[in-house]
Parts: sequence; structure tokens; C-alpha cells
Amino acid sequence: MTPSDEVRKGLVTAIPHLRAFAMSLCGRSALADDLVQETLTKAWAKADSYKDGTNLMAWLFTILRNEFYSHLRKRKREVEDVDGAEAAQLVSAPGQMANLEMGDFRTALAKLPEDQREAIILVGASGFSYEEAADIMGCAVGTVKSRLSRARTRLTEMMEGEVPPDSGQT
Amino acid sequence: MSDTDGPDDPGKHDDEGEPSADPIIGQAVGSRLKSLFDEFSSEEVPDRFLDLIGQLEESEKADKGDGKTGSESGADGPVPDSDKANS
Repeated sequence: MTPSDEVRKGLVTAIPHLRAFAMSLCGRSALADDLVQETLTKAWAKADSYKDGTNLMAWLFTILRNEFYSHLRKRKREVEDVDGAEAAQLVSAPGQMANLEMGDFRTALAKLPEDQREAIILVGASGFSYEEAADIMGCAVGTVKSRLSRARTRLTEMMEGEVPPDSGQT
Repeated sequence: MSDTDGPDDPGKHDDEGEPSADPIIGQAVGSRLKSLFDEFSSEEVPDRFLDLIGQLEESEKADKGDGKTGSESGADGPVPDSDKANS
């Protein structure tokens, strides 16, 4: 129940990474920070289920993504059209976009199915190996790879403008 | 063969430019992902999280009561401990 020093320090160090993961999953939003908060609290409470010396970051990311999915499930019950609703919400406000290209990329990322978005963030942004990503997502390594490849295809299409991500203006 | 145990320690990628993106993801998507992630992770951490860690530590001390501080109340930690909350 008492987190070891390793966990304690690891938690603090992990906060920026957890936030980046959460924000990549659901945009810069109150939800992202709530996910991080929940993750820290849960990690503290179940610190005894973490084995010292194993990959703490992966353990924390697993908690966060589980929180994310339980949020989505809850939400799904409320709003049937999760895909549309979430996607619309994920797009960050135009004012926050550093430049148009990154803005488009965010929009495109937000429009991926969750499992593909998650996979590509874990491997492409957070730097986890396929094996670690598979562990975190609770799926096979082959599944990770196929999600990555589908995600790449869709992102590339959207970035090349075949599917206009969201022109916004009317 | 799937027994590769080489944890990559994702927490610490060295910044010494690793220009080779993941082969499946490719360079174009990979570099955008990284820069987005870097932008997010370099933001200043809001106080609420450090406060939270502080609170967790406090409530734990109170719990353990190992200090003779008189475990007045673990109540000052607003720690939602309920795992059963999901339903």
C-alpha cells in the first residue's frame, strides 16, 4: 500500500509524459487533466501491484488508458454517436494551433479510431516498443502493428487532403 | 522469439536526434507525432498534480500513524479510493 521510493519519484517524473499521453488521446482539455489525476491517485492506491524494477512508465500508461476507456464507455451510454462527438470535441480551438499544418495533424489524429490513435501515440510519440504497447493495450503484437499501419495510412490520407480533416469555415 | 526483453525505457528517449522513425509509422507521421507530444510534455505541470502527490503523502502518513503524530484524520486527503466506482 505504501509506494516505494521508486514509485514515488517515478510518479512525479511521469507527470509530464502522462499529460502528454492524455492530451494526445483526447485533446488539451479538462478531461485530459482529470485522467492524469485519476491515474496518479489509482497508482498510489495500488502501488503494491507494481513490481519494483519493471517498467513503471508502462504501468502508469496502462492505468491511464484504462481510465480513458472507462470514460469512453460511460460516455457511450450517454451519447450514442461517440465517434462523431468525441472527434468534434477533440479538435483543439483554432487559436491554439501553432501553425496550420500541426493543426491539421491534430485534427487528423483526433479522427482516428481510438485503438489506432492509442497505438500510434504509444509507439510513435511515447517511444514504447511494440511489445510494451501490446502489453499496455492488452492485445497481441501483431494487432499493434496492424493498428499502426492503418493509422499511418489514414493520417497520411488526411494530411494529403484526400479527406479534408475539417475545414471549419462556412 | 517473442521473448525480447529489452525494455526501452520510453521515459527517457535521448534527444540526440534519432531521425529514424518507426518503420511502420514512417517519417512524415512520426515526426509530427513527436513534435506534438513534445509540445504537450514540455508544458509546465499544473500545481494541482504536485499538490495531489503532497496530499497522497500526507494521507499515507496519517494512515500509517507511524509518526506519533496522533493519526488525527486521514480525512484531509480527498483521495477517491474507490475502485468499485466503475459501474
